[in-house]
Amino acid sequence: MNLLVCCKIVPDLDRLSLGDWVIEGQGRIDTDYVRNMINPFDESALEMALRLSDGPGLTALTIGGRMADPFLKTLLALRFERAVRIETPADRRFCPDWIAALIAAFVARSPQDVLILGRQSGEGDNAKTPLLVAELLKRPCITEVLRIEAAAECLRVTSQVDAGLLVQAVRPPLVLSVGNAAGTALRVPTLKQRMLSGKQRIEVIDADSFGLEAVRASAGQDYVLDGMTLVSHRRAGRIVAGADARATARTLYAECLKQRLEAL
Amino acid sequence: MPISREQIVKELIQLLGQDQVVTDEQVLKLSSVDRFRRYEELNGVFALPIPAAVVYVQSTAEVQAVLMFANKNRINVVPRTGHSATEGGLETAVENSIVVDGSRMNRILKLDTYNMQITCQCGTPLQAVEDALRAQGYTAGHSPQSKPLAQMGGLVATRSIGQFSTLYGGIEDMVVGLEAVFPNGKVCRIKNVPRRAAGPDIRHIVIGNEGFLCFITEVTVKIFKYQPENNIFLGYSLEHMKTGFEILREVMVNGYRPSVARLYDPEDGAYHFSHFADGKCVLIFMAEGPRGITEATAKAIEEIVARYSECKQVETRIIKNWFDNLNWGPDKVAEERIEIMATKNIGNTTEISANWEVIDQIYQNACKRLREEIPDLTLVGGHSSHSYLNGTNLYFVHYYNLVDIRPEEEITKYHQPIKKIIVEETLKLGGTMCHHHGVGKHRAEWIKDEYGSSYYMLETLKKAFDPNGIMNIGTIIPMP
Repeated sequence: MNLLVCCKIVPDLDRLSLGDWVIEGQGRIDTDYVRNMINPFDESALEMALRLSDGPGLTALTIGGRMADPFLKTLLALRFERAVRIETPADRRFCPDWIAALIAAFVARSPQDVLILGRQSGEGDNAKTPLLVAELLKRPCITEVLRIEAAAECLRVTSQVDAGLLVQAVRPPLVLSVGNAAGTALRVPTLKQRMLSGKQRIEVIDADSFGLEAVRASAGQDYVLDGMTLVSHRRAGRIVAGADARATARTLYAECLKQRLEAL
Repeated sequence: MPISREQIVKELIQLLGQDQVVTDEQVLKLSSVDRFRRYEELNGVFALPIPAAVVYVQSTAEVQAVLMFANKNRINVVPRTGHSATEGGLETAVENSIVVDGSRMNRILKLDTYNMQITCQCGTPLQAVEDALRAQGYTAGHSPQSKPLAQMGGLVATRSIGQFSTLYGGIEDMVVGLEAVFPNGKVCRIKNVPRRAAGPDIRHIVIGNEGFLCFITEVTVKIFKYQPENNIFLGYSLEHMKTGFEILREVMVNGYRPSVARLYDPEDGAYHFSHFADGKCVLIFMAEGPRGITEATAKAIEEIVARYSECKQVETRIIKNWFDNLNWGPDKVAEERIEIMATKNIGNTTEISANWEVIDQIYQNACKRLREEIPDLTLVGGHSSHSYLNGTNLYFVHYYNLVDIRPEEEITKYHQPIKKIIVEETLKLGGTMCHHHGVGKHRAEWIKDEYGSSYYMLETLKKAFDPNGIMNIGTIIPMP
C-alpha cells in the first residue's frame, strides 16, 4: 500500500511575544526569525503512518522552501521511503486551493492509495486542504481521525464525531484528515538511523512544473491582513486563603467544592 | 540507637507544629528525588528510601532546632528550596531522612540601591528578586535557565551560574554575605562588605556546599543597573567548533566582557537554530551595560569575528527571539513531561569546564566516545555558554530513546554511562567535571579524582562542620 503523508513546516508561534505580532509590509507578519516545527496535526499524521508501515511505501510530502529540509531528513531517518519537497518561495498560508491542487497533481504523477493530512495548521488555520484534496481526487475523506490500524485488506479508522468515537473499516483509496489525536508524538530517530539514511536524497520538484499557475494566481487573493485583535483567554479564578492550611482547605471545600460534589 | 520513623515525625511536630511537618506519602515520594530521576518519577517508580518527613521551616531558629534534633539523633538531613536540582543532590539516600524545605522563608529583607545589594531569605524565588529589582531599574544579573523555578538558597548552595555570567560572573561573584546554620545549631552570619583580607574567604565554605555542610538561611547579593535599551545582540553561523573556541578566547583575552558569549555545535544548534543554521555551528553574543561600553564591545566582537571568513552574520531578531525563549518555567517542565512519555525520548546535560588549550579536545574525545559506546542516542552535542580569561565551559547535551528498559534502568543503561565518559575525558585532560550544576550524588564517585591532593581540604571541612555526617549523605562525598 502506498501511503502519502502531507506535512507542513511552520513557525513555532508560541515563541512570539506579544510585541512580535506586527503587520509588516504587504500585510504580512514576519515569522522568519522564529524556530520552525512540523505542524502538530501533521506530526500525528506522520506517526500514524509509521505505525502502519515500517517504511516501504511511505512518502512524506511538503510544499515550501529549503527550511523544510532538516525535517525531511529526519523523516528519511525514520524510514520514510521518499521525502519530497515541492519547491516554492510563495507565501502559502492562505492558499489551500493551490496547495490542494499541487498535492492532487503530485498524486497524479505518483499514485498513492492513502493520503494522510493534518486537519489544519496554526499558521493559516484554513482547515480546508484535506477536504479540497479529497474533492480534487474524488476520494472519500474521513475527518477528525484519531487512530488508524491495519486490518485485512482495509484500514480500521477511528474518528471523532459529535456523538463520540466512530470506528470504520475502509478500503483505499481514501483521504484521512487527522484531528487532535493524543499519544501520537512523532518518534525520534537515533544517530545510527540518521547515519544510515544520510545518503538518501530529498526529492525537490519545482511547483511551476505542475502547470498550476492559474490556480496559484487566483488563490488567496481574497485575503488582506489589515489588523489584529488580541483575544484574551484568561480563565476565571479566585484565590482561596485562610489562617492556615486547615482553614484554607475548609474554605475551599465549603465555597468551591461542596455544592459541586453534592450535585454529582 | 536510631529513633524510629514515627518518633522522628512526632518530635518534628513538637518542634514545628503539625502544619509544617508533611508526611503525605505522595509528597514524601516526590521529595526522595530531583530532576535526575525524573523518568522514574514520571512512571511512579520511587526506588530510593522515602524520607520520614518534609518540614517547611519558617525561620532561622526553626532550622536550628531541626538540625540540632537531627544531629543529636544522627538523622540524615536534605536541605532544599526550589527543588530544581538536576544531579541527585536532593535524593534521600538513606532511610528516614528529613527533607528541610526553606521555600516558605521567602521574604526580601532589604533592597539597598545605595550600596547596590539585596538581602533575601533562602526561599525567595530568583524570579521574585529579579521582578522587585526590575521595578526599580536594577537587575540581579543572575539568570540561569531555572530562574522561574529556583530560589536563592539553592542557587548559592549549588554554585549556580546564569546566562549573563561572562559579564556579571557566577553566583560566587555576586554573594556579598550570608547566614547559614550548621548541624550543631551554630548560626553563622558573614557580613556584607565590598572585600576583606581577614584570612580565608569563608563565604566559599558555604557557597556550593550543596547542603553537605550547612543550611543557608539568608543571602545578600550584589545588584546592577538594568539598561536593556543598550543591549546589542550579535549572531553568526560558522563551520567549526575550534574556530568558535578561538573567537571566544580572543574576545576574552582582549578584555571584552559581553554578558552572553555562547558557541553551539551543529547538533545542539540544530535543535535551536535549524531555521538559519542547519548543519552549522552558531556563535552568539550579547553586549550589555552603558551604551558606550555595549557599542565598543559589539564593535570589537565584530572586528574579531571578521577575521574568520567562515563566520556569517545572522539577523539580530533571530538571536533575540531565541533568547526570549530560553528559560525553563513550570510550563516547559510540564510540556517536557508529556513529551518524554509520548516519545520515550529523554534529554539530559552534563557541564564541565577546562582551559582553552584542551577544551576542543575534550569536546571531540567525549562526543566520539559517546557516539561509539552509548546505545540509542538521538542527539549528542553541546555548547559553550560561560567563558573566562583562561578557558570556557562545555555543556554537553545528550538525548536518547528509552529502549527495552524498566524506568529505573534509564540511569544505569544511559544517563550514568554518559556522565562517566564525559567526566573521564574531562579529568584526563585536566578539566573540571562540574561547571555549574554541582556534584550531587551522581558525580560523587569521581570526587577524589576531581580534587586530587586538595581532597584533604574538602574531607576535613566535612569532618569539622558535620562530624556526625548527617548533612545530605552521599552528596559531593560518596556514601561510606
